[in-house]
Parts: sequence; structure tokens; C-alpha cells
Amino acid sequence: MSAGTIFLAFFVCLFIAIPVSSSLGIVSILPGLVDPSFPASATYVIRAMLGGVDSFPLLAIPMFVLSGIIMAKGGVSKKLFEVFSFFIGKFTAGMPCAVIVTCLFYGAISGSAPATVAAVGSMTIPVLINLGYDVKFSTALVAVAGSLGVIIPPSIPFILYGMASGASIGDMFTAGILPGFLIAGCLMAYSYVYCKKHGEDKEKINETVDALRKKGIGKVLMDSFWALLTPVIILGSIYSGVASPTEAAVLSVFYALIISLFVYKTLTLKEIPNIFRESIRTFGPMLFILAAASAFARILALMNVPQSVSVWITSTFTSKAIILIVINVFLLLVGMVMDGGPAILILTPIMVPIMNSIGVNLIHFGIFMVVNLAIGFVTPPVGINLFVASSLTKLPVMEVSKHAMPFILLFLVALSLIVIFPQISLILL
Amino acid sequence: MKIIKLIDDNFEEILLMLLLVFMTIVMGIQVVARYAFNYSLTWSEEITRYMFIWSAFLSISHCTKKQISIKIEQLVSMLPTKIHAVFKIIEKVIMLAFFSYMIKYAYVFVQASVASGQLSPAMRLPMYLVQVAPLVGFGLTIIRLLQGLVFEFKVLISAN
Repeated sequence: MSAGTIFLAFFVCLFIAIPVSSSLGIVSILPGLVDPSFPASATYVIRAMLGGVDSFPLLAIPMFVLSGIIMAKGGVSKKLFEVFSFFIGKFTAGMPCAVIVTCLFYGAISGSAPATVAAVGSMTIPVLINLGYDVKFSTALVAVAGSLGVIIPPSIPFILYGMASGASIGDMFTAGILPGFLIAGCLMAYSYVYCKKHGEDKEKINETVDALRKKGIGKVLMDSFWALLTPVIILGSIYSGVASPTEAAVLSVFYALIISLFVYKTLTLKEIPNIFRESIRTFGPMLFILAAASAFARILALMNVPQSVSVWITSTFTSKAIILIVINVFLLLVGMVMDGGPAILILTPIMVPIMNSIGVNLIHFGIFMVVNLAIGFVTPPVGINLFVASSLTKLPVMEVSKHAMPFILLFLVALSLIVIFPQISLILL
Repeated sequence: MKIIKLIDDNFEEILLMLLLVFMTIVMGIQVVARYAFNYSLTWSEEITRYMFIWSAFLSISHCTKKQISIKIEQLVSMLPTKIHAVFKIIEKVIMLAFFSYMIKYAYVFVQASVASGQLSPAMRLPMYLVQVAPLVGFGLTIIRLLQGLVFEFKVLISAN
């Protein structure tokens, strides 16, 4: 059975709306079903599925989801937003930029893009609309800026990439910082241009910021101190080598619980069961995908797909630049139709040999792969951020995506810079 | 009847929530033991990994029941309601065929594990306690798919 047939079967399964996880399982048993001499039986596939989730690093995923949901319920995003609007709110595009910086910081708490959109968006979009910003602009802004959630560490896609490629997850987390800042900078640049062109309701903004400033800098900083400390604790413990990403995730769960329950008192014990229920519903759908995708990756390896693709790519395209362009366009397209997690688990083993043969650093590759797929979060037809953002404001998905276009263009500019200059990712290592 | 409905609605969810609570607590203990008391536990990592494996296989039927599996629905949802309903049935039948095929091998897998008498490295637990997870997960999923099929057929009939 050829690899082409397998991928065709996979896409047929996806398009008739069979869950991604079962589709991966079905195509994993196909080669053994068609050709009994193929070394991977169904038992082999089951063993591979089990092996795929038998991993301590992967446990960081439920923990980061859990802590993200606790922080969202505990109102941590609000505290962050207040600090940033306190300082930059009065500048041109200050409020939209405060939203972007909040996404940036919140990304350093949660590992997921839709979670960032939901937590930051549900709190900031009403504020922006009150201040007179266009609802479409505000929704699109949060939908795109939410993608920073997966580029600023900690990041679930980085964990998956580390698993699939063997690259150090800690290194990935370090390498993601500057690219995240660069993307945030590009998004702010567009917000500035937009606000210059469309004007802002300075009176209302000043009123809001003055109300905050009346509290005094000490009070606002004190209020947000514990929230601002969260990324410091999470990232600090990982970077200093004190804790593994999984342990840091566990720390962040308990830290979030303690500050929300006892310091901010924004959470009551009664709400805890619901937080666990919501976490299950958030990461549950990912779990069997992880298992089935690692089984599928092993089947592809048995069929020598990674090697053949690598040989084909490097013999068809001769220059490194062209190969990089082809790969980036391909990843962008994949990101548009597929969820980031399975894409990373399936494509990483296929693409790593290509990167090795053209001399691209694997950490650098991991970063731009995730950035590509993150752009897919905000493009139709399956851009999850768009769906989350549109559910927040009741705008149609297509309307949000239209207004997200300028932001996406800037995102692409940042992507090109990240691909062309490996230093942006690697300089902090 | 009420109790049956309650169990039917929440069975996997409650198991998954309990697993998550235990994983969080055990890892919390592990972190505290290591950093506060400089004492590395040998069993904690293993038990959380095994609970995570169980969560992964239980999540299949949980997602099927709650209809929260990740799938690309944009294409089929553009179809007229009746054809859409037919596609929902096709989807469930294909999944049913897949999991019914797999459950046979999941059973073979557990049998081999029981026969080998293999123990886990740290806690000396029999490995079949973990390796039975696919069998249970696939079994529950088949039940949920059958329930779903009955429901979809009812929808289709009432639409006629």
C-alpha cells in the first residue's frame, strides 16, 4: 500500500467528519489489513498508541490546561490588563496594545491559543467596545493575538514538537520568547496604523485610565503583583533548570489555586469541581489524538515515508531557500485545515530528515513550524481562534476572519523574519 | 431510572475527573518532596503516567458521549439536514467497525500481558492493569457509539 493511498484515505475520513483521532487509528491499521505481511498488526498499533501517551513530559498538557482554566476563573487576565492599560493606555493605540501585551503575558501562563482568546477576549473585548473601538476590529485583534499563547512559552505545541523530534522542550521554551515578542510588535504596529487612521475616543479612554490611575500606582501594582509573578514562577523554574516543564506546570496549578482562592478570593471551593470538568473537556479531545498520531507516525516510519519524502524533496528542489519556502507554504496550508497537535506529531518525523539534510537547526525548525501552524488558528475553515472569538461577540466567523486579514499579513511578515534569521530563535539559547 | 441516567451521563466524566485530581495531587506531592525535602519519590512518576494512559483511553468514549471529539464538520454541515443526518450515521458506523475490529486485538494484547506476568519497574504492579485500558476504552466507546446510532436513527425517522 502506498503512502499516497494512506493519506488519501486519511483525508476522506476527515472530510466525512470522522473524528481526527479515529481517522488516525483507521489509517494506522490499513496497511496491515490490506497486506498481512506488513510488520504492523493491530496489536502493534495498540501497543504504539499506549506507548504514545506513556510519557511524563506529556503530562504537562493537562496541568497547563488546568492552571489556565483556574487563572481564567480567578480573573488573572483582568489584573494583567489593568497594569498594562495603566501604563500605556493613553498612547495612540494604547488600549489595543495593552490587549496584545495581556495576550503575550497570558500566553506565558496558559499553553494554548484558544484558551488565551477565551480568557483575554471575554474580559477585554467588552472594554474595547465600551471605549468606542469597532467590535470587528476588537474581535479580530484578540483572535490573532491569542495565537501568541502557543509561541510564548509555556506552549503545548512546543511540548509536542519536543516529544516528536527529540529536541529539548526547555530549549524550545527559551527559543520561543523573542519570536513571540517580534510577532506582538508586528501586531501592535498594525494597531497603531489602524488607530491613527480611524481615530480613537480619547475622552473615554482618558476617563478609564484616570480612574485606574486614581487608585495609584502602588495599589494597581500590588493588586496585580501575584498575577505578574505567575509567568516568572513558571518560566523561571524551567529556565533555571530547577523544574522540568511538567513540574513547573504542576507548580502553576497549585500557585493559581492558592492565589485565586486565598489572595484574590475570586474563586470559591464550590467552583473547583467545575474547573476540573472544564479541564477534562478541554484536553480530553486531545488525548486519543496524541495516542493515535504517535501510532500513525510509527506506521509511516515502517513504510519509510520520512526517508522517501526527504529524498524526493531534496532531489526535486535544489536550493535551501526554495525548500524552506515550499515547506513553509505547505505548513501554512496544513495549519488551515488541521489542528496543530496532530499536524506536529505526524509531520515532525517526516520533516526532520529534510531539515537535517539542508542544515536547519531543529530548534529553529520547531519554532517556525509552530508559528506556521499558529497562523492556521486564525484562518478559515478550521481556525479555532476565530470560532472562540466569534462565540464571544456573536459575529459571524467569516466577518472576524475578514478583519483579521491585516493582522495575519503582519503575522506572515514576522514569520518570514523568523525563518530567514535563525538568530531570532537561537540567540537566547 | 434517575440513577441510571445520572451514571449514563457522567460515567466517563467522573472517572476522568478523579484521575485528573489524583494525577495533580500525586505530582504535587512529588514536587514538594523533591524541592522541600530533597527526597525523590520512585513511584509517583510511574503512577501518574499510568493514570494518564487510562485517561487517554477513557477519553475516547467520553468525547463520543459528549460529542466533543475534534473533527472537521464544516463540509458535511453544509449539506441539507437529511443528508447530514445520513453522514452522521455513516461516521458512527465506520467508527463502530473500527473499534469492533480493534477490541479483538486489545483483548489479545491484555491476554499476552496476563500470560507474561510482567511487573511495572517501580511499583511492581502487574502491567496488565495498565494494558487493559485500551480494552475498556474501546468497549465503552462501542457502547456509546451504539447509543449514538439509536439516537441518530430516531432523529432521522422523526425528520421523515
